[in-house]
Amino acid sequence: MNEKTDSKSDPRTSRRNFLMTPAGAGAIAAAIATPGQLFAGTSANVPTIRIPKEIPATLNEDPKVGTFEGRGMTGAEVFAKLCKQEDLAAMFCCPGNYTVINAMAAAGIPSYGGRSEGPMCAAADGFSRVTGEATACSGTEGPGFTHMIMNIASAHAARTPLLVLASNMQIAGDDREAFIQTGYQQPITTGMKKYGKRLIAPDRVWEYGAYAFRNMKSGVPGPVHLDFPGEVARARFTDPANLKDYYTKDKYRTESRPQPSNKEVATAVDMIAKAQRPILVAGQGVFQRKACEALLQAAEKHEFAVVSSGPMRGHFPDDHRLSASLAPDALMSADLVVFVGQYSMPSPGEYRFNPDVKTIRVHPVQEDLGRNWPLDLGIVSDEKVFIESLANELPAKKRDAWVNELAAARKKFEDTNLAHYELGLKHSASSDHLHPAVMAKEVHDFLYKGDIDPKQTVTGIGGWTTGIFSGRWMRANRPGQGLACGYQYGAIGPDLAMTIGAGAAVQRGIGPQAPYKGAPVLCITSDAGIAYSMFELDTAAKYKIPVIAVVYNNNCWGMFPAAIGSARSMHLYLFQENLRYDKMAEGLGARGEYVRTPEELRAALKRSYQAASKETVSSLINVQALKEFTSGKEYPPGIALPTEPGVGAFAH
Amino acid sequence: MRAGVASFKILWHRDQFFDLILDTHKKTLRFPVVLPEVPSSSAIYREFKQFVESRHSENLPDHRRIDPKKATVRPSNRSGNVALTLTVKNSDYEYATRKLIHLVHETFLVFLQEGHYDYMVKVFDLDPDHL
Repeated sequence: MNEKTDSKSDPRTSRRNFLMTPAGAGAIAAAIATPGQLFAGTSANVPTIRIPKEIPATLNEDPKVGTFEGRGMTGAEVFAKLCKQEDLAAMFCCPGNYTVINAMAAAGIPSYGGRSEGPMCAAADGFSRVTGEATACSGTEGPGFTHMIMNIASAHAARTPLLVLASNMQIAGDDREAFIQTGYQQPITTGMKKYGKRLIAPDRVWEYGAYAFRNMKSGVPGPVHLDFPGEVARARFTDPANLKDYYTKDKYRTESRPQPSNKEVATAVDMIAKAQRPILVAGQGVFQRKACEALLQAAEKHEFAVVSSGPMRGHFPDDHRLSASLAPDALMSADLVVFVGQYSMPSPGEYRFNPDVKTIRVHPVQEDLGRNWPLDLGIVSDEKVFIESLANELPAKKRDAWVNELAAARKKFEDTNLAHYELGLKHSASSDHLHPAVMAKEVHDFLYKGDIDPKQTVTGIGGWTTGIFSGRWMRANRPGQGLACGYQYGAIGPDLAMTIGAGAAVQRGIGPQAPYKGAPVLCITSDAGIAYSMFELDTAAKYKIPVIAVVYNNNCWGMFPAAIGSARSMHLYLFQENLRYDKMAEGLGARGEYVRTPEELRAALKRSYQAASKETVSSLINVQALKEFTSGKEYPPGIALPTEPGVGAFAH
Repeated sequence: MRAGVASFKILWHRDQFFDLILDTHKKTLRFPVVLPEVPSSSAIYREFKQFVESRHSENLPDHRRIDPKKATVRPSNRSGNVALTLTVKNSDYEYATRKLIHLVHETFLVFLQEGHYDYMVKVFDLDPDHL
């Protein structure tokens, strides 16, 4: 545990020395000068990692949308045209489903090709989570499609408007095991999509595209899965009359939203006004329906508390005096909770409210009202419409006692975090490895207490141990600033890819990311998690999406305590110790950093952020730790589960 | 109710059954087992006693506090089973019941969740598949 590394072989020393020397500075300068040739090979015979010229060249080509003239449009081009009409925000894919992805890219839909379909699916999810926009992912028939499954399920749990596309052989080959990769896709996504269809009639490709967007953009969103047999993707159309229901989007779907009645609003206003300590749980619907401004206005007018929930964070700023996201101790005091846009509904006991709390729930779909949580008032309404009604109808009110209680609870939470950090510092010093509480606090101070605008950096958090410790310290001070990568489904591993997807949105300045266009993004993940999507550092480099991946390396799956006391089991949970994820990152064209002390982490964050900001180069910081840090007995306090709802929450 | 005593069984936290015993002669409400497998000499029991005591603190707002003039609550430990007994001071059983229920609720959602992960894993089989 107290193993020391001699200075000759200490990787930290060599890296630090390298960066402090003129040679190191020169290397960075050279990287700025030639972004396609960031890292020179170690010998003259080893070619340099570089971005081939075809990548920027093809990215800069003008869009070419199919037309009915001449040879006409393929089914894939017809579909791509509809996606373009619907402003599909981005597509993430691996090659396969060639006709469709080529048509989508050609139509001008921002497109990204990566290393494996699962992480690309997570990237599309991440892009959507921080913008609220519909995105797509695509993979080839059997293998590529099935590789996406974990992340389709994550997107489903997160109610992401995600269009899952996959080719699927030919109808003519159904049930014949013709050539390779045959498989029925739609049954596989049962239970993890809002809508799905194997397209079998070429003339209905537009009609089913309309089905897809109607589902993604109405009510509670969710993934839509379409699989394209060759007969549909490659069909040719020279006359729009040959396409069924070939209408513009205003004919095949509506922006009309459910409105609460005057009586319902009056009842809700009366309940809120009479409550002593009301709290509004701002679910993801508040973000996706763009109700953040109205919520701020209503909360400030009437001084009710707000705690945000969902797979993205920041739709009510953590740093606001009325935010309860950093005030877990106050949650139990609330006498009225108003759920708005809470799509994944907890059961009593999962959220830290008292057993007597009265409940109002506002939801766009009637069938879900009353599920899991008993209601005193259920209202079917669009989130934004309801919150605007509150902003108009609630009387101005001061709730000094409640505001003071929130402030006291926030201070208590921060004091507790600091106490954990102090303990972590001692553990780090005694073990010569970095404790997760220290890692989280250092990243927090770097992002929110230093020179960087605390609203700037989008963060993604994942992993078990890593997520639990980091969740207490990461902040979302504006809409779309935080990603709870493991939200609800609890997948270990999509974190980095999801954050890269969010980074693509930041690079393009989409929606709430517009003021921070071009900023780096930061992901905190685990050694277990990084294995699932590390190769997408190549994708980040290829598309100049600067991401800083902080990898908490404790040599194991975080749930290793489950093996304690079980014969012949522990080996299932452990990895080789001291693996060098930083070196692997270097091999993928990113920078690598290796740290074991707070000072080293601080310096590594600074260098990484600089490289990300100025050179659009990604970095991976390998934070070497010990698995024993999770033990409360050996290294108190050990793990403290996050309070739900609030910062660090990932279940609902 | 028989001879001033009534028992209730509640399916509650961690899918456990909790017995609640009301004794109007003794003026008590009692959960005989709130936390199992807690040695009386353990740190967790020491911390739990402090947690329970803190619920009477004047530093807490009224809506969170157990007013000692109305009710007092104390933990006890028999063979590792930690019980909570609330004594009603002014016959306000509604107040007393509410406060005791809240206390058990906070025991699971605050006391255990914030600092006793290892105990939750060991005694209540907590893992990501069983939160």
